[in-house]
Amino acid sequence: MTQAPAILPKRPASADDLASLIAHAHSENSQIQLTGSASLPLTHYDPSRPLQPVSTLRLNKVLEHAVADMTVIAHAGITLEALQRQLAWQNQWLPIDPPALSGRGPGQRTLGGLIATNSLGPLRFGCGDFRLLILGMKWIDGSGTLIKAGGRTVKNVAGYASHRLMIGACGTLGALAEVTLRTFARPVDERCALFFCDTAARAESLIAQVFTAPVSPAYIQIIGREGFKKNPLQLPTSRMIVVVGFLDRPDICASQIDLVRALPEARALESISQTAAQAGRLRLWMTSEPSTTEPAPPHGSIAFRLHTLSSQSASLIEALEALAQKIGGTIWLVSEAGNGIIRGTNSTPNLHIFLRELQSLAAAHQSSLLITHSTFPLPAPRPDDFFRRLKSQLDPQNTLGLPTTSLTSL
Amino acid sequence: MTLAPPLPSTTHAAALDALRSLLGPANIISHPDDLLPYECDGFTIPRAAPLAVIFPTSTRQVSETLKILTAHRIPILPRGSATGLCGGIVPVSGGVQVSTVRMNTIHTLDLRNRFALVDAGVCNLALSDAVASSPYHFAPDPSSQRASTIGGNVATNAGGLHTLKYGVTVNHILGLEVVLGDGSIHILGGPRGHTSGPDLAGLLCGSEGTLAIVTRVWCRLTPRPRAFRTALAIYDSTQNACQTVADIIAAGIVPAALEMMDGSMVRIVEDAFHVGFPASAQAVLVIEVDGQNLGLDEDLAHIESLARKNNVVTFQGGSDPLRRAELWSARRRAFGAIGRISPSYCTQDACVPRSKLPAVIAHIASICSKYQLRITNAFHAGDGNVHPVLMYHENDPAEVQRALDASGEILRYCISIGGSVTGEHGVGIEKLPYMRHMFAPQDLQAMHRIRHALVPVDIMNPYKVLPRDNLDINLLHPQHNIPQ
Repeated sequence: MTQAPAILPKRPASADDLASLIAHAHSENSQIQLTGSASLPLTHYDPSRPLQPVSTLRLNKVLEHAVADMTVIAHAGITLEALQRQLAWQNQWLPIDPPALSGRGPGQRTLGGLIATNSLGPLRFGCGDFRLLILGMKWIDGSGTLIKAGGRTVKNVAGYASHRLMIGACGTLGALAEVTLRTFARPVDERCALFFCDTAARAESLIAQVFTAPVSPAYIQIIGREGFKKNPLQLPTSRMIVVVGFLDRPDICASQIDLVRALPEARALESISQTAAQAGRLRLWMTSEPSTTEPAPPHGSIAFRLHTLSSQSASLIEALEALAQKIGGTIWLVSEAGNGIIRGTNSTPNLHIFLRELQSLAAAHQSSLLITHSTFPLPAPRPDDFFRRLKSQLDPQNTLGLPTTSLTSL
Repeated sequence: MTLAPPLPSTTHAAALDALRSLLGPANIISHPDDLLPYECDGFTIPRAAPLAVIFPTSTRQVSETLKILTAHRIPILPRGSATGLCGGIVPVSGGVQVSTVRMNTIHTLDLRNRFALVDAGVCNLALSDAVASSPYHFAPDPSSQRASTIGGNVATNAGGLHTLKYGVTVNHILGLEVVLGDGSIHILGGPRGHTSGPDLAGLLCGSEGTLAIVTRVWCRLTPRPRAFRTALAIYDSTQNACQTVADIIAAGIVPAALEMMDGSMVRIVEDAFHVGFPASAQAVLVIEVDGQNLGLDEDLAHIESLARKNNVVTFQGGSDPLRRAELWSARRRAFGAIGRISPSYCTQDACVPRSKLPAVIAHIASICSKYQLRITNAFHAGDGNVHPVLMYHENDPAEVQRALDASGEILRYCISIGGSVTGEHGVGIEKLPYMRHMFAPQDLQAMHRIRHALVPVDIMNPYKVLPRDNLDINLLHPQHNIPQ
């Protein structure tokens, strides 16, 4: 039996070209498999219908950088690295530091893919999310109609903000073509302080004090003991490491680090501060989970996100490490503790037991659990009522596919 | 889309009886005399009385209310404290206003996790007051914050004086509890924010009650700034003031607030509040930087150098909290002071790219001159959000019409240079015709489809936000040509 030849991906170079491809697929009752940097399997397609792969990698232009207005319009297929490079010429940037995925570094991921999966990193705490960054968008519905939403001004309440509907929708309600974003002046310096905590309670106490201190951190992270063993700075590990980072002028960063280190809880902890190069390297490392950078272990692995309350981050990390110790395997845990987001991976022969216990822990903490990667099949989540209603209007023929799993908020 | 046909009065009576039975007579107003104050919001040109105004006190009552109204095909008009400025609550096709003002409980204040869960009818300022002893506040600060409800802030995605640095309402909302027209109750997001799937709470923000009624809100609490510097920059030319704003933004500085008043507004404010503005000033900027104490003086010095480059006459900066409070109080009350010189006025709300402010302000002045209207300006210059105030005599229909025509010309011009028809007030019925200038037919059609997905029967605040084919609402007679 001969295998059917693989269909070459189409590579549109403009929003209109992408719209035409989707319109054609719609008219032929086929489906569009839209990929950016191909870092994530985003969608599920009907196997009985033809599938046309479409790459957005030629949709890679900065269309307009209004330097004085601090806004930029770019194609959705541009990589974050290319976009940041262009903005840097004018000493501007986008304060986003998404995780690396599927061997793709954060800079290789596309703007559209980041928005479609709502992928942000530690800077989300101090610099804001896509709601703040995105001013407008051109997106394409399931019939191939190119639709403009929002605008190019920093405030705008004209009509429905359908561009926000595209954040986290995995491209299943519309394909992103162009995005208008707010830009920011590049910070002069980055510094962070690491605190080595012997209990979750002390980590939580420290973070609670940072929250009420007269400082403005750009990120507050917790790293579990096992994960920190592989830190790129080869620093010693402890039960739990709290990282508090700042982006500002060098003197302001230094002053704020001094303030944090002078907090009552901090004074009792061993700590170390890192200046620009090391701080940036550490922050980048904190976004790169092992499942995406290392070969899959033979007995399988799982990657997950827990959305919990900030105050529960430390105790949940402690509980998850205890669970992994009981069941066996290697666990890696990093929390955007300021926002209560825990990202983790675990490789263990007892994955099904780990998953069951993980679900129990999430339920006990009223936390949302998202499985982002698994070496064994998981049931696809059922779209909720709101999603089904919107899908029926924006892509009733299901040209753009359905979410395979909760691959959002990465 | 199914349009609600005219209903016999017996149907109205049956619906009102059902609502009285559900809510109790104290929570419903239906006598025509009592309905007069409910004919309009802060945009007072279009007026029409609702069939009734009801005051549910719980999400369950909102749900049951909406089921009754939908069953009787009576339009549902969500209402907060009616401080809106675009006619968003005017019952152009009849209907019942559903007010959330008696749903005003703050359920949760979780300072450690920086959020509050509040009823939609909680007043904006009441939330900040409730956490006044903590390091936090609710950052959106519309000028109406003493009266406007948080549910209303969500419905209009309200802005304010300090949104330049801190963002608008949607940036401070973690989750919503909403009720659809069919009475179904939905939770979108929550204390943990947007965790998975499309950002539905983000979509609902700014939908002006045309998709659902917001009943409870998870609000993000934001650290109050610890230190600040406030500056008053006085100019003898609006162009120089506008150019300073453009230069500050282009320099990458993000002040907490960057407000401008033109010469006529300066005199109105000075006459009312005596804050020390010189009578000869043609424009003033009120500028605030905040954050860590260290660095603020340098930021202010940078701003002062940009102001001097643009020929500022006087630049007064400092950290005196009393002077700061005086300046912001005057700015917040500026619109109220206009009543001293004109009984009626309408405020426009276009938002433009900030580099184009100098040209925009000059062009607005020329439009108002052409229409022989008095105009004054107090606006969020740092956001590019202009608020030209067009003054008219309510009893002079020709002048009212000129004010409407001039407004239209201003909005079309702002759209033509890449701006938005509304930065923070919303579309309501006021700006419906200009949506066609800003969006192509397929863009508006997509919005209609989104609405149809959530509102299959055209019952939630109909005729607002989205223009309809072959229908222009006459603002002087808003119910004309519309089925009642």
